[in-house]
Amino acid sequence: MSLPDVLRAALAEADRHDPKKAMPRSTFRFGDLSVAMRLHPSPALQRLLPMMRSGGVKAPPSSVVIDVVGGDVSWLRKLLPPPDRRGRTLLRANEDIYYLWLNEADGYLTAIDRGAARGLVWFTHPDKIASWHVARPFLHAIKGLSLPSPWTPIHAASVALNGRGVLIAGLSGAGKSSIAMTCALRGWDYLGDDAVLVRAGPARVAALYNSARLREDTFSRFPEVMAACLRVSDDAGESKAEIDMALMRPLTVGEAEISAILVPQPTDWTELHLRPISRSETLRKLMEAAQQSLIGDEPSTFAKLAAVVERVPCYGLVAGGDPEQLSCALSRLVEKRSAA
Amino acid sequence: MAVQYRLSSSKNVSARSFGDEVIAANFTRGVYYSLLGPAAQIWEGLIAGLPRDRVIAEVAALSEEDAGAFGAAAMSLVEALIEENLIEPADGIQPSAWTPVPAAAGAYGFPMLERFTDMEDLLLLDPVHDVEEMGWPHTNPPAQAG
Repeated sequence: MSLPDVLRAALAEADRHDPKKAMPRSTFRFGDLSVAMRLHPSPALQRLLPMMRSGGVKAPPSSVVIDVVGGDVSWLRKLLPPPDRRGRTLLRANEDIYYLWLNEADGYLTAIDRGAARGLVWFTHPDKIASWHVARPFLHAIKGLSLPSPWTPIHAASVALNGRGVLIAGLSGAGKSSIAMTCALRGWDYLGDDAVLVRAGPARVAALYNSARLREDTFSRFPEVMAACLRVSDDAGESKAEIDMALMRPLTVGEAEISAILVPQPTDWTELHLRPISRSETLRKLMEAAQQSLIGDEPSTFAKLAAVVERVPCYGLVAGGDPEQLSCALSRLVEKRSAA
Repeated sequence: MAVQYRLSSSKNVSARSFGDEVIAANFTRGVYYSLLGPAAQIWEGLIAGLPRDRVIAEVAALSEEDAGAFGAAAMSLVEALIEENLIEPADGIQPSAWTPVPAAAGAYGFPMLERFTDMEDLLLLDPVHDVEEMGWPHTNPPAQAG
C-alpha cells in the first residue's frame, strides 16, 4: 500500500469509530476554509481548543473534517514511520498528501488526504503535548489543507488599525511579539504574534489564534499583557509566558487589509527607524520564516507570498525604545497607504 | 545557432520578477538568489526566450561599462544561473515580447547574481526527508503491540 492508501484506510477507520457521528466536533473558519475538528476521547486533547480564534462557527456542510487523536491507537500504527526514522522530521508534501512527522511530544503526526480534503492529527503521547501546540494548535493541519486555497499560514505577527494591518515578518527572536504587543496595548487590533493567514488579490491577513507568547526578557516590558498570562512554560529551555489576548479585551477583528510588511532589522540602534527595503529581501525573509516552522509546499508558498509582497510596501524596521513613537509611526504608515 | 534558455523545469525551483528585481529560489539546496538592475534585465530577456547574445547586447547598451567586460560578466552570470539549476537550455522557443528597461538613474554597472545561503543552515538543522515512493514498510513494531 502506498502512504496515501494507508492514510485513507486510517481515515475510514476513524469514521467507523464514530458511526452515529456523535463524537463532538468544533468547527473553525480559517480564511475561506471551514474545518471541523473531531476530538477522539482523550482529556489532554481538550487543551488544544481554547486558543482557536474562530470558535463556535456553525459547521457548514462543506467543512473539512480533521480527526484529532491521542495515545497508542492500533488503527493508526501503520502510519508510523519505521522505528529507526522516528527521531527525525519526515515530510511528504505533494498533490495527494501532506504527511508531517515531528519528533516532538514523543511523536506528533499531521496527515492530510488532499484529494478528499480529510485528515488527522495524532499525538502519540497526548500528556506530552508541547506548549507551542497549545498556543498554536493544528497549525500544520491548516498548512496541509491550505494548498488549493489562496490563503497560506505564515510565521509572522500582525496588528491592525481601522481594518488596515501591518504584517511583521522574521525568524523566531526577531522581535515580532514585542512589536505586536506594543501596538495592541495602544488600541490596535491583535491578529497574531507568531502565526497568521495571508492571501493576495487583495492582500489580506487573518487571525488564527488568541494566543501570544512572550520571552522572559520581555515580561517586565509588558506588565499589562502579563496580567493575561495563563502560565509560564518551558520551550526548549526558554521560559515563555502563555498569554490569552482575549482576556485583555474582546478580539472582535479577525481580518484586515495588509497595508505594509515590516521586517525587524538586527541592529544596536536604539532609535526608531523605518526604511523601504526591496521586495526580494522581504520575500526571502517571509520564506525563511515559513521554512523555519511551516515546511512543505515551498513553490506554492513562494508564489502566494510573492503575490502579497508585490502588492504591499515593504519596510525594514528598527523598533527603537519608545513604544508610543513606534505605534504612532506605524499608524502613519497605514494611514499613508490608505490615502494612497 | 541562437542559444536560448527557460526557467528550470525542476519543481523545486521558483522565481518571481518584480520588474527591477528578481528573486529566485532553489528549495532543494535551500538557497535564494537576488538579481538586481542589469542582472534582472538579463534574466527577463532569457526567460522571455530571446537568444542569449541578443539579450546581453541589448542590456550592455544600457550600461556604462566597457562592452567587452560587460559581455564577459553577463556570460558568467548566465553560467552561474545554469550551474545553480535556475535556468536550462531550450531549443526552438518562440520568444515573447521583451524590451530591457534602462536604469532608473544613470546607467547600469556589471550584472551580478547575489546568493543567500541562510536557509542552507536551517535545512541542515531541520532536515526534511521524503518517504519512499511506496510509503513505509508497514510492520507493527513489537514494542508497540498491545
